[in-house]
Amino acid sequence: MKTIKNYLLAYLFLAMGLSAFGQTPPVDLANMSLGDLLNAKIIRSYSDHAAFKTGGQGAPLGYLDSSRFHFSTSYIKVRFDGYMDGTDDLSLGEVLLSGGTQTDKNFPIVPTVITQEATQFKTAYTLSEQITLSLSIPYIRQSSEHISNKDGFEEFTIVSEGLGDIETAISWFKQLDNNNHLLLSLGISLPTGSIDETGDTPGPGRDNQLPYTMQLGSGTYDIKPSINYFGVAGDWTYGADLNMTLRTGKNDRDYRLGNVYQAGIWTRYALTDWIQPSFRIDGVVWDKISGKDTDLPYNPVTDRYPAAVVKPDNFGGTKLLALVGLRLKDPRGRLENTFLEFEAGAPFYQDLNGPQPSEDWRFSASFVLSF
Amino acid sequence: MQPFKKCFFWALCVLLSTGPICAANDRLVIEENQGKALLIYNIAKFTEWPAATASSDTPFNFTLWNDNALADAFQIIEGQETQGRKVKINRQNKDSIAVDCQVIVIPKQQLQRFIKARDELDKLPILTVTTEPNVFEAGAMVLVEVVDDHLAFSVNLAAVKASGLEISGNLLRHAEEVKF
Repeated sequence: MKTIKNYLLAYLFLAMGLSAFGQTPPVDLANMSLGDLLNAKIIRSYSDHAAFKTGGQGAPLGYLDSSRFHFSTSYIKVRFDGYMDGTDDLSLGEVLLSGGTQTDKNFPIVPTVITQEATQFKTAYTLSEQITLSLSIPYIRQSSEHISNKDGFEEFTIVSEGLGDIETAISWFKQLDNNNHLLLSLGISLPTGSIDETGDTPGPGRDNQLPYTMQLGSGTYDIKPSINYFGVAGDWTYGADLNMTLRTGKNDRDYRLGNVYQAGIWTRYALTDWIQPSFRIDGVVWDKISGKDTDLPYNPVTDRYPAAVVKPDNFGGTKLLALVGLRLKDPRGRLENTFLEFEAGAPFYQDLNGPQPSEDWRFSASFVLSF
Repeated sequence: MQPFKKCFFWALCVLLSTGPICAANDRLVIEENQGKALLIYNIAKFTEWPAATASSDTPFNFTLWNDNALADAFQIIEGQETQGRKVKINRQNKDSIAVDCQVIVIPKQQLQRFIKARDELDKLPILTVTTEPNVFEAGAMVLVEVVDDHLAFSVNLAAVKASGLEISGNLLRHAEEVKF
């Protein structure tokens, strides 16, 4: 009984202390003296945050303004058209096996145009001045047009769509000085996207396992650390970011997608109150697939694959992209923390473990709402 | 050993409970926009308007020009008294500048419009205040900003005098910078 009493007293002491820490003693602020006011410690207003000016792809959602809740929806479309091996462009004729012996550089089935679309719903909640939690839910649609030398499949298209990998993250914000800011985030991607998508492809049946490129998730728990720096100089906002996707273990199909390392620099100019163009350079390095989905077709005798997109070694590479963007916002009234942003770009350098489909262009649109 | 553990336990409790109280009492903590609103209000208290423009039965108007976040913070002084008049907060959510006020706060996004309206404003007894250095450089009379973790202000005294206002020397001695 005495022990319980001691713990209750201790709890009371701690509770008193913590409540003192969490509150400012009541003061008649409006009648503060000038001296007291100039001596007061000022804590940052979210609304004046430089991150407010980044958003979108630069995108520390949750540090955008004085709001607690932030919602964004974004749509991104990426089109792959053509093939590359290293830095060399290949024609479809070079990649499609048409008579003769198959080598490790040609295939009887060739995806010609691959389109990947993702609609992402993201919500963030600002816990404190420095900490924000976020949750992202993607919906993915992919289609792939093919040509092949298989009877009945000279031309065919496969489609997959559904929920992708849900990601949750915690972010920590540090204001370096009035104009320079740092945001560190640690996210985890959950294997909620399907890796069992099937379709009608040349094979023994009509429901064959689709290639890695047509699956909706990684199948693994992925760690996603990132570092974002951003600064303000007059009407210019600029930043740099480093994002990683680190796969853990292997998925239920005994393979692991390659790690992804992305670094970018960007700048945005406030042309007027409501229109802000931006420019960004992104570099991406990603690894080959480790392991193999044994339900995908493979001839162990000849060590040949029917398509580049089912061969684990034909993934990974390096690419550099240039992107231009435009942000539209109404800086007045209740919409001052809401904006619409478009961004489009294309790779200007690709070095792919090929033959591998090469990216043609990408486009994204984002709408951010905070309240 | 048991008495030592007991003493350590209680000492820890006392430290944890009193430490934050001491820390909290060292300096008052104020949110940035609220602090800026209070400082602008204090600066207005130390400013003298031409007698002809001061009528005790009309409100003392602060105009926040397209800056709702700061306007929200200004609510803390709504209804207070300065210069013998009740304080009124006006939100000017239009692109045109308001001239029926004693103090106008100019945000960064209105820089170009402020520059265009500056000649007109210079002739009026209106204290032009900003939280943006660019606007201060462009001719606003007072800059209120956060330096490190405290409030600071600068005064363009030449612009203040040109509009017929007077700022007390007791205020100016606290200024980071005074432009003559």
